[in-house]
Amino acid sequence: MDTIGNALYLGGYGIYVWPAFATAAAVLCWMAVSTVARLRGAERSLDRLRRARAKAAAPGGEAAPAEALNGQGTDP
Amino acid sequence: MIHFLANPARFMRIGARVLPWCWAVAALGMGAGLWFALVSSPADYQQGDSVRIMYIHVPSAWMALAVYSLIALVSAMALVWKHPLGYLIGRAAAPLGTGFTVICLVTGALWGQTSWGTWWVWDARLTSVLILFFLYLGYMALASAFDDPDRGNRAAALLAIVGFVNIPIIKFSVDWWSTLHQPASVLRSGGPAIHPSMLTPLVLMAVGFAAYFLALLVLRVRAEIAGRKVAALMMASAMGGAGSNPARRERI
Amino acid sequence: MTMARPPRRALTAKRRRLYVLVAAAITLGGAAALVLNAFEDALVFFLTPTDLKTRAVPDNSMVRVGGLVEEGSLRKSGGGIEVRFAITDLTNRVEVRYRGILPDLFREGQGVVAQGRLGADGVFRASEILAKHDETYMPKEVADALRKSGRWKPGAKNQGAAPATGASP
Repeated sequence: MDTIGNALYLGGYGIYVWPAFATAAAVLCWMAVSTVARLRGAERSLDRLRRARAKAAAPGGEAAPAEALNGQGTDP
Repeated sequence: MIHFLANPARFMRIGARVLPWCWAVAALGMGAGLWFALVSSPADYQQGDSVRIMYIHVPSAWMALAVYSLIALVSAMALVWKHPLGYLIGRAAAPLGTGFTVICLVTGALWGQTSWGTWWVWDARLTSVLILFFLYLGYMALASAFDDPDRGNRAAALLAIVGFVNIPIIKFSVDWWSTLHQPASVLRSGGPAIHPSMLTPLVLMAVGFAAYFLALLVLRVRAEIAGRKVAALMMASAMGGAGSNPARRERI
Repeated sequence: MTMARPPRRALTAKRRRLYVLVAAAITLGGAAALVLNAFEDALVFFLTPTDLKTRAVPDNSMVRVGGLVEEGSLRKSGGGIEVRFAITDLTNRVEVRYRGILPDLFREGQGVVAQGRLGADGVFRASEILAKHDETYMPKEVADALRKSGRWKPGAKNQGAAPATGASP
């Protein structure tokens, strides 16, 4: 327990060192999370548009692809 | 070479192939770097354990500069050769570069408080890095400021190129003017002034950061390409559905 | 023949854009260099004791003086809160008086930046003291070994007791 406390204390510099590492970890995580969110979002809307277009191209289907982005719940 | 890579589909195929390697190098570099930085490296003879902040401060500063340089480079190529991929890489890289700049500024403030006795001073080095941060913000704002994405891309690319003046200023500010910030320790004439036991975590961390950036860049470029396809499809359907052929527009 | 080659016009347009960009970059770089040169004084974070002596610094104006804490010049009184020392650039020196807590890295022979006003008596009254450290990093054992073996070069190039470059383990 004591050794852990010493390790965290870092000769008194722990109060600067740990926030620095925590900030770096937080920002690096944010980079990954925001990247994945962007990619997912873009790929999902692309899928939806393509499916709507395929439907429109099929005989009988006349749905405008642009609406597919807004009507999220209506997709089968 | 440039024109070979400028094809988005080809670029993404290569990206997909290097992606797992990037993740592996990032995990190894940052994992081992963290071990060396926090456990196995010694305290500094002057600064004690506060020197450990260097192992994230310096690599993130290098990344902040490198990513901006990359954005300026691809922006110039996009403007000259009209390769849209350059714009996409620039847009994909900017938020990541901003992140590294934030890490650099925050860890620098913490390190400055313990070693110099102040969180912030307006010396040439610190001020020029703050300007870099605003350049990143300006680039991202411009890139998405116009209804016509091409206009936004061109305006942002121009800003990136103009702002590149700041990069050598950041690098050499500590040599050209008297600053509170110390001169370069690693990339300097006469070899590094850092003991090998402390250079190891620094280099490992830098390699890890770079690989992590590349991995996220590939994913972000993929997202930008998908985004462009979405925009093209929406445009095609808005221009009157049945007659036009969206498949043609979908290609970038 | 004509099919294999890209059209000449497109090529020249690209070339032109490239040249315009290069010319603009050179102009921009030159302009930046001129501006930075003109603002040199504002970009300097601190003056050296020599600057303080040779330049016309307005009386009682707030300035920063930087240099090395002169070896053996540090005097503390009033329970360590009243500090006197000298800042030197190895050519000139200036006496400094300061009331307050010194930063951790404040040491004789190390770099320092003091903010304050120069009195008519030539004594600099500092309101803020910042420690400046050099670009050398090494473990304590290595520094001790270097000192012992006499390969230590105090005040070699920059502020602080920087040893010769390429510290060996």
